[in-house]
Amino acid sequence: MKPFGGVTFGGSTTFVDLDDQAGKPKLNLGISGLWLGEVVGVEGDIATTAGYFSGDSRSLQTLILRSHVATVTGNLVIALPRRIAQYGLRPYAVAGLGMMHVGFADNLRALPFSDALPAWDVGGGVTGFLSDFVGLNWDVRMFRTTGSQKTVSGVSLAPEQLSFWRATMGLSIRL
Amino acid sequence: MKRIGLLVVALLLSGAVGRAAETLRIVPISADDRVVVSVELADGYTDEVKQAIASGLRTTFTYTIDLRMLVPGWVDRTVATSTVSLSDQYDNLTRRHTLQRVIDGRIDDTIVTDDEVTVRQWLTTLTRLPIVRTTRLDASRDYYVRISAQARPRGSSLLGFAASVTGQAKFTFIP
Repeated sequence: MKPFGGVTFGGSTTFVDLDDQAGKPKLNLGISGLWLGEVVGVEGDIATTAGYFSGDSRSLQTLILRSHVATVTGNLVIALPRRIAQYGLRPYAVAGLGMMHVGFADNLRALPFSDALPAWDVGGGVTGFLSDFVGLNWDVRMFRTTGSQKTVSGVSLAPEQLSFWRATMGLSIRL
Repeated sequence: MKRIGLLVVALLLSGAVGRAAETLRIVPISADDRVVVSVELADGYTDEVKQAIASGLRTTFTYTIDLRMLVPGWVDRTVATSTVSLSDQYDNLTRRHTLQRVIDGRIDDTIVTDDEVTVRQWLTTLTRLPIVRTTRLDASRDYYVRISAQARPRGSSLLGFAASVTGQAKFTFIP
């Protein structure tokens, strides 16, 4: 199990980004579960970024009152073989498919949106254990919605799409 | 018949702090499927220590012993830890020393003596202290035993100026 926290950054979207926040760093929290063999493993990953499209809530210029982006992905993990990494840092690459739930509501309720979009992610990281059961993990991956063909009138400038990077640090707890 | 094997290929004594290399002699060996450590704190029985004992204050030498695995490029793994307190309570009326050895909070041995040589040896020497079963060690890996010795009361310096000394001995485990 890997509870983690980090930031999303480098976002890009076709959604109408009223507060121009999609590309800015946001706090991200999540948890993932990983089963890893000698080299290959599978991972389930859930994470959410509250206020992804929202600016400073204390500012009168902020238009998006509530927003979030949540991801649920299932991934294939390829890691450095255990016999090579031994007790040291063990790097891995990860890629998978899932869903990205995007939601936002502006102060005029003119452009509300809440929908789950198919998405993929790719990235990598490194894990190092401090004891037999507890370690630390650093992970960077990119999330991107797959090419949606439908356009929801008014909330996106083109077929709905959102992509961002996520950098996290977390605990690795071996069960 | 006890089987005693030297588990060092390259036993390196090195001082981590100040004069530790000259004063803290550490010898790890394997005996009866355990790693045992012998320690000698040379020059630890200073005039200050003698004065503290003579004053009737309980004088305690505390040895914190860590067996750690060397992990290149990552945090060394602590395999086992043990704390040994060796104390002397001198009775000015009877002129006898009550010596006590406490291992990990458990009283291991208590003796009464009027022999100062015995007191000196009691406070400054650990002989074949079991640290861990060898089954918990990986063959052909590098380990080290790191020992920190402290004296109480604080004024009773071990080396004339240092409140504590630290030393370590590296070894490679060959079963």
